[in-house]
Amino acid sequence: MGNHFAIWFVSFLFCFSCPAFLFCEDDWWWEGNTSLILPNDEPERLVSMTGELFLRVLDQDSESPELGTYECWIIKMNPESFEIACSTPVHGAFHSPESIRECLGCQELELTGGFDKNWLRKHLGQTVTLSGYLWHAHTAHHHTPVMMDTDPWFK
Amino acid sequence: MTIRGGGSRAWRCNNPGNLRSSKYSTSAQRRSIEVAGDGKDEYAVYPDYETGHEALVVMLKGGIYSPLTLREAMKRYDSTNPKYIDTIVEKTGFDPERKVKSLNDKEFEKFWWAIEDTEKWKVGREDFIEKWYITCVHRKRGVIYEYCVRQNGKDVWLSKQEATSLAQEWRLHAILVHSSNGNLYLRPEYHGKPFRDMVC
Repeated sequence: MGNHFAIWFVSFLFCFSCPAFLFCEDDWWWEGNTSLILPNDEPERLVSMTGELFLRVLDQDSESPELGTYECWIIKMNPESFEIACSTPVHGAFHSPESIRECLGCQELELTGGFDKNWLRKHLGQTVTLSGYLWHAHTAHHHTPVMMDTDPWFK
Repeated sequence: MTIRGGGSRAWRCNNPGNLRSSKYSTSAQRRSIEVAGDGKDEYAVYPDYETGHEALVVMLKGGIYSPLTLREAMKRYDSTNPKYIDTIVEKTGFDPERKVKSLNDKEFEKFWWAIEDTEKWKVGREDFIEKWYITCVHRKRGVIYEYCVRQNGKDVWLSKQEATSLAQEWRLHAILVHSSNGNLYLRPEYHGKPFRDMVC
């Protein structure tokens, strides 16, 4: 009798704790395609992206132009790189392949982090290939659905 | 219906963290009600400040941001402004090399407050626009050609075109439907009384 109770109790605890484990994952709020979520135990993928490099000068804060401007370096991705952007799982996934493709100007890739500004300036308007780690736009300060940084999300 | 103008984007969208429209910010769990923007830059709209605030807090507490230091977190939150972390440090007094997950409840509250304050919550102008109900329809050979609308306690008959124009301005409790042949017509709102039961 005691053994039966112990087995039942352990099974009960196991069943009860499973959803809790699931909810520890950060993808619990995702609906639909989760293919761009990189599991926490997997390393971030260094990718090479090719396209035309251009510069857009934007207000630092679009609602407060008096704060000055900001140089936004962007690669207009070629079709192969765009496919990489739509299929590479990342930490900090805020998009699905479909939601990237739905964005206006989805072929644009904002460069963030420590890319050498002098090098970028020299290659303005040219087709370039740059390597980095992809991440997804999620605040008003991000200008393209997918961005590329010199550093991985988790160092 | 309320239309918000002026003020800050955070206030207009009830989105104090200025979260862009994403799988996260517009998920069912976050209870956003709309997306605002021009197609390129789009933001989540929440029903009230509390819901928008919750979206920011859940994101910061989640596994994406919480393992980062405050410096790393702010670098990601606003990748355009390297001084963002200085502003947060100035407002909170925290060491920028501390991890987000190391903050206790009181410190975390200070942290999100500093972000919301930096993102700006500026109240603007609110205009209230009355939205009218269709109470009755006139039908000829199965086609509705007039709608009776209750305006300020009075029943007013509108042609189909006038009613459609009002619906386009979101001033009528009805769904505007674009048919495949390009025509516009009205449909009752979800769970609304069918028009066929309103013929008089």
